[in-house]
Amino acid sequence: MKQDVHCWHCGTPTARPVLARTPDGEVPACCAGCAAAVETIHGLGLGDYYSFRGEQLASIPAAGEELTLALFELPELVAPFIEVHGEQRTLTLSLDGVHCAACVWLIERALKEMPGVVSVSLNLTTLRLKVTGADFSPGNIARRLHDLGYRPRLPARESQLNDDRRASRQLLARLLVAGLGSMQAMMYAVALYLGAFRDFEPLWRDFFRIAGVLVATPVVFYSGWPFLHGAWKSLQARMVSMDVPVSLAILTGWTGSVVFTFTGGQHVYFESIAMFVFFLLISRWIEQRQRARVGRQLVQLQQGLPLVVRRWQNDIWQPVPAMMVNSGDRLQIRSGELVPVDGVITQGNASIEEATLTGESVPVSRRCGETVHAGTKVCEGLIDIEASGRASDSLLARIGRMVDQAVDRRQGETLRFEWIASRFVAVVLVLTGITLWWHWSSGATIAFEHAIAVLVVTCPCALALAGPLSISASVSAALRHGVLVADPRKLLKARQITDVMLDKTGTLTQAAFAVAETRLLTANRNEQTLRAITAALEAGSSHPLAKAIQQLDASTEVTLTELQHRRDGVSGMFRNSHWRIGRAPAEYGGDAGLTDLALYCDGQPVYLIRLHDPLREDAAAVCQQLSAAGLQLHLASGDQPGPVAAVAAALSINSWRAGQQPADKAQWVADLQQQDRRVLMTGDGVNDAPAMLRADVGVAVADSSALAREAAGIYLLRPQLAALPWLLALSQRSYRTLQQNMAWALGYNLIMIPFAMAGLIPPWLAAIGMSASSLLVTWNAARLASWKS
Amino acid sequence: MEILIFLVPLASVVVAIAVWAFIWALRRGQFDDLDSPAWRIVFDDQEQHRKADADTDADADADEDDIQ
Repeated sequence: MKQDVHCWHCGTPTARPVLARTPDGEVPACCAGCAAAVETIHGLGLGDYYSFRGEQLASIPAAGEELTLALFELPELVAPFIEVHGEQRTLTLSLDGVHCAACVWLIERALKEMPGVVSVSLNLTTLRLKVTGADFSPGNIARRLHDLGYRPRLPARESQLNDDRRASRQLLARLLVAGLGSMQAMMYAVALYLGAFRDFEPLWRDFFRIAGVLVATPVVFYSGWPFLHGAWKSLQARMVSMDVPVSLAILTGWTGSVVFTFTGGQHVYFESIAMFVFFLLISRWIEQRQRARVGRQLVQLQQGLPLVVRRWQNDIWQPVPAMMVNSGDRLQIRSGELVPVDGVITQGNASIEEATLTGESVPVSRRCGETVHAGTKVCEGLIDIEASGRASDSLLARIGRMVDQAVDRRQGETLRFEWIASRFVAVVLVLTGITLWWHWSSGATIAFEHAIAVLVVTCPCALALAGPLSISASVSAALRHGVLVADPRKLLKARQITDVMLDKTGTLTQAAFAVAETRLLTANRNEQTLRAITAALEAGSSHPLAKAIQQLDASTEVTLTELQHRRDGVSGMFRNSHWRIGRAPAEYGGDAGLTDLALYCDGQPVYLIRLHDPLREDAAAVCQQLSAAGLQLHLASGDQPGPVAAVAAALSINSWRAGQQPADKAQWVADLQQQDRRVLMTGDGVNDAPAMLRADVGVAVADSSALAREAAGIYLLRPQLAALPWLLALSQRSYRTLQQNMAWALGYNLIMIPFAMAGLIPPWLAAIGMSASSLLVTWNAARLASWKS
Repeated sequence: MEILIFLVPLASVVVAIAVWAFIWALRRGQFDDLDSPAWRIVFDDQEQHRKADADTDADADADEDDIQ
C-alpha cells in the first residue's frame, strides 16, 4: 500500500503526499511546509530553481521557527548587523540550508523583488547574505527566506570568519607570486641550459642568473614565508616539524645559488626552489579549500540550541537572545520549540522529546517541579521554566565540551605519512651533509654544488603533495556521495575495522512511527468512520505516534467537541458518544516489537491500532552486505528488550544488547577493542557520542544530533545506510592510492639520490624528474576524486 | 642578442603589473567565492529566454485584440 513518492522540494519519501499547486500542475510534497515552499517559489515566478538545482535537494522548512523570526522584528537586536552608508543600509545575515549555486540564484532573485531592496549578494563559501537598500524590513526579509525553506540567522563568529577570509586571500596571493615567479625562473633556467650546450659568453650567463635572483627572491621570502615562519616557531618550541627541513632546503638552495651567481659557480637552482615553494603552496591551498567546503557543510549542520527565548520581564513575555539568559530567569516554551537551557518546570506540563539525549523518539511526560534539559523538544503543552543556569552550563553544553576536547586531541595526532615524510627529509639532510664531506677534497664550490643537487633532486615535492592530495581527493569523492568526512584520519582507519556496532532507533529504524496493522474489535462498526474519528482525535497533536495515526485518514472532515489532551491519551465527543484513544487492553497486545493503541467508544475498545518504528528501507540489504564482507555486527540500543530483539531478528544480528546507557555502549566498544577487534560505531543521538569517541571509527547517520556528528567525525548527509559499505570500499581505495603515491615518491628518490650524491645528475634532469614525479602523484590522486565504487 | 637587455626587464615589469592587478582583485573580494560565479552565467541565459518568450506572448495577445 505504501507508494514510493518523493517530495518535490526536499526529496523525502512520503506515503501520503500533500499536493502543491504549480503552473505546471500539482506536484507532491512531504509536508505542508514543503508544499508552502514550492508554492512560494512558483508564486514568485522562480520555478526555474527546480531545473537548476541538479541533484542537490532543498532543506525541509523548519517548523516552530516563529520565535526565531520574531527576533528579526526587534530593531535593537538587528541593529548591530546593519551598516549605514548615507541613505543605504546593508544588512548581513547568515543562512542555513543553502546547498548549491541554484539556492544562491533563488535567494537573490526572490529578495530583489521585495520593496526597498536594491541589491542582494550571497557568498556560497561563507554563507553570508548581504541585503542593501534604502528602506526594507529585516523581519520581512527573514520571513521570506523562511518561506523559501532556508533558515536565516544573525551572524555569529564574525571575527573568526574575517580571519579565515584574510588567511585565504593571503595564501592565494602567495600562491600567485610563487606561480608567476617559478614560471619566470624556469624561463631563465631554460635559457641557461641552452646556453650551457652552446657555450655562450659568461656575461650573458651572469645576466640570466641575476634575473633569476630577482624573480626567485620574492618567491622564497614572500611566498615561502609560511614555511620559514613555521620552522622558526617550531625551533623556538624546541621541536622539529616538517617546516624545518623544508625551510633549510629552500634557504640553502637560495643562498648557494646567490653565492654561485656572484662567484661564477657551475649551476644555479632558482627555478627548482621556486617550483618547490609553488608545489608546496598548491597542496596547502587544496587542503584549505577542502576544509572550507567541509566547514560550510558543518556550519549548516549546527542547529543544537534555540537562539531566542521568551523571558518574563516588564510584565510581558519578551523575546531575548538565548545567550542573555541567566540562572533564575523565567522562560516560556511553547509546543514545537526547543528547550534553551537546563531548568525546572514551574508551571504547566508537557510531553517532551528527549531524543537528543536518549536517542528514543517517544516523548516522555514532564510535570511541574521536574527537570528539563537544554536541547530537548516540547512536543505538546506549554511550560514555564526557571533557568538553573546559563546555556553554556547545560548538560548538552558540557557533553559538547567533552566532545570538543576529544576532537582537539585527535587533531593533534599525526598521520603515518606525515611521520614518514618528516623522517625522510631528515635523512635527506644527513645525506646532503655526507655529500658535502665526500666532495670537500675537490673544493668547496664543487662540494656545495653537489650537495645542492642532492637537495633539489630529492626535493620532497612529490612527497609533500602525495598525502594531502590523496586525502582531499577522497574527501571530495565522499562529499559527492553524501558523506561528510570531517576527520580524514577516521576515513583511513575504516578499512581495518572488524566489527560494526549499530544503534537501533534512528539508525536502523526511521525513528518515525507508522501504522503496522489495524483491526476492528467489534463486528458492527464501519471501519471507515472509525478511521476518520481516530485521525480527527489526533489531528492537533505533534506526538510521533499521533502523526502516524493522522495518516489513517486525512481527508474526511470529522468535527469533535470537548477535545481533551491528557497524559494517557486524547478524548473527545462525537455524535453523543465519548471517544478516547489510549493504550490497548493487555489481552490484545502480543508482539513485543509493536506499540498497541486502541480507540474506545464510551469505555469499550472498538478499534485496535498497532504501530511500529519501521526499519530503514535499505537496512536489511546493508546488514547483509556488511556480514558478507566478513564483519561482525552488533546492535546496542537504549530501548526495551522486546523491540530490540525484533529488530535484531529481522536483520539476523546475533549479538544484541538492550537497555544500554551511553556509558554501557562505550564500555561494550572498549571490551571489543580489548579482544583486538576494531570497531565502527554508527549512531544518531548524544547517547551514542561516548561510544563513537571510543570506537576506532564513528559514523553519524543523517539527521543526527549535532554532538553525535561532531563525535563521529564522519556523517552521512542522506538518509541512507547504503553509504556505509561504500565508505569502507572508499577507505580501502584511498589507502591504496596513498600508498602508491608514497611508494612512488620514496622509490624515485631512492634511485636518484645515489646518482646525485656522486654528482652525476645535471640540474635540468633533476628539475624534469622532480616535476614529472609531482605530476604523476597529482594525476594518481585525481583518479580517486572521480571514483564511484 | 642585445635586445634581451631590454626584453628581460620588460618581462619583469609585465609580471609585476600582473601581480599588482591580481592582488588588487583579491583585495576587492573577487576571489572570495569560487563556486557560485561559474553558475551565474547559466542563470542569466535562462532569464533572457524567459524575457524573449514573454515578448512573443505579448505579441500574440496584441494579435488577438486586433481580431476582436
